[in-house]
Amino acid sequence: MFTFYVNHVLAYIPTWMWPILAGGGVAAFFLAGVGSYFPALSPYANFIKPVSFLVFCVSLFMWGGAGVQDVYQAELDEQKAKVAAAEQASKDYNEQLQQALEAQNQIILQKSMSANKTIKSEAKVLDKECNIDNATITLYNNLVNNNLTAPTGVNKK
Amino acid sequence: MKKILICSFMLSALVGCATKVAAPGEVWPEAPAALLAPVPNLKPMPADDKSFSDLLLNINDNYTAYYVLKNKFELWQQWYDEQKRIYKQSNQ
Repeated sequence: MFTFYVNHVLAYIPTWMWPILAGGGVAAFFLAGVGSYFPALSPYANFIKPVSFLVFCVSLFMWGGAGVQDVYQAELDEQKAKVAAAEQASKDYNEQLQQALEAQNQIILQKSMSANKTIKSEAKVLDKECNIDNATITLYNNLVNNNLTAPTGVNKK
Repeated sequence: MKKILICSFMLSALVGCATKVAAPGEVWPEAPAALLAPVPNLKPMPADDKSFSDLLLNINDNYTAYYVLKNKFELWQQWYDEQKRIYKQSNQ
């Protein structure tokens, strides 16, 4: 209940309300003091005096709280701006990185294609001089599949 | 004495009840999609393929896969360094 009151009632009352209420409380207190000299107003004045003093005290307390909150809010806004700037910087860098990755991969693939072209053009000479037996292919595939070493790494949770 | 008490009360009241201020949430930095792509396996030689040129072509494909992966790994390192720099800068 208290949290609801703080979040949904006090949070939406503007700061300027509290000095006005405090000033109103002081004014009512003094007016009640003046009114107490008049017999017709005296009963009302006796009621208004403590109420206006209470209003003044509560308003002053809440004014102080609102001031503290404004300081926190300013710090929070500054922090939010920093977070937004960091997010934007991260996003910009990601775009640069994506472009760099694509460009470098393109170069790697071009070099690979060039090497493939050379191998294919020299295939007849290469195949004529070298023969590969089954054991070599098996050994090579074992290396490719990493079957010769024990698996390492961290299990996924 | 009475005035001092009243003034003390007023001063203490001025640091009164502050309402709740929501803190900004931590935002986990997103990595570029290309860096998150799965890593391909190396290609084995077909069992019936015994020519040396095919072996060289296969080796070339696997070396290419390595260089693509090396490139990706280096960019991951750069990405990490940059995110660290941005984080430090925003928390100064």
